[in-house]
Amino acid sequence: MNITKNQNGELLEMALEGRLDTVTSPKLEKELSTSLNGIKELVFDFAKLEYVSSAGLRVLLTAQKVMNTQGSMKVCHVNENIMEVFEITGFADVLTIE
Amino acid sequence: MLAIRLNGLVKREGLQIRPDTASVSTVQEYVAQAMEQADIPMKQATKVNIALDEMYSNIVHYSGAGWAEVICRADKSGVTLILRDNGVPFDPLQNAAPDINQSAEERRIGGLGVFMTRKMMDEMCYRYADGCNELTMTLKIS
Repeated sequence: MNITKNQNGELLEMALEGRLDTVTSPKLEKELSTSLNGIKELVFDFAKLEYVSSAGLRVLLTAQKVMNTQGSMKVCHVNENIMEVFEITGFADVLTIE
Repeated sequence: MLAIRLNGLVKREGLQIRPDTASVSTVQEYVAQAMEQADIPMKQATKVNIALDEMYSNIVHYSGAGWAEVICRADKSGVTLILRDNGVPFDPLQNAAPDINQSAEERRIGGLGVFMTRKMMDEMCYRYADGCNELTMTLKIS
């Protein structure tokens, strides 16, 4: 999985490419742990993300919890497969999806 | 000559592997290839990939197994994924479903993997035999 970051002041955009699963989610977790300081708006771009498994959901949930305390988070360009995962797990209600 | 024939006879289907963290990519590749050869559509292949990630990572992280076997049978009618390991007996089908109605703040993380797998696959069957866990998951393609 590739992560492309684009920061503009307090706005951070993260575009993910590939799969967010057991193998790749530690990479995102690590990236987030050093990137969110002072960020008020976090935007994930999933346009090139193929799928998300529960390991990926855990990391998204952690990010959501952090952003709940310091600003907002949204997820954009979610494909059909990922939307299905968000819906069956209840994450569709937890995350802000655009 | 005889040895070669015997070799041919005992050659096992699927992939036998030591279930460590590094093995996950190898297993993913094997399953992806089996599905590609059978022209499994992207949507269905994704479901199998998710189920594999959930259930194989359970083996890697919690089973204590020194050996695992992954078999993927794919054809026009669907995909069957069989996972075997010699770790501690664990029946994922006995795992309680998480409360998905809780908010992000209240939600305890865990149990989601089994829940997702059950939603992704059409059939799941578990048995413990000869010191091995065996989980068979089937996705039908109509």
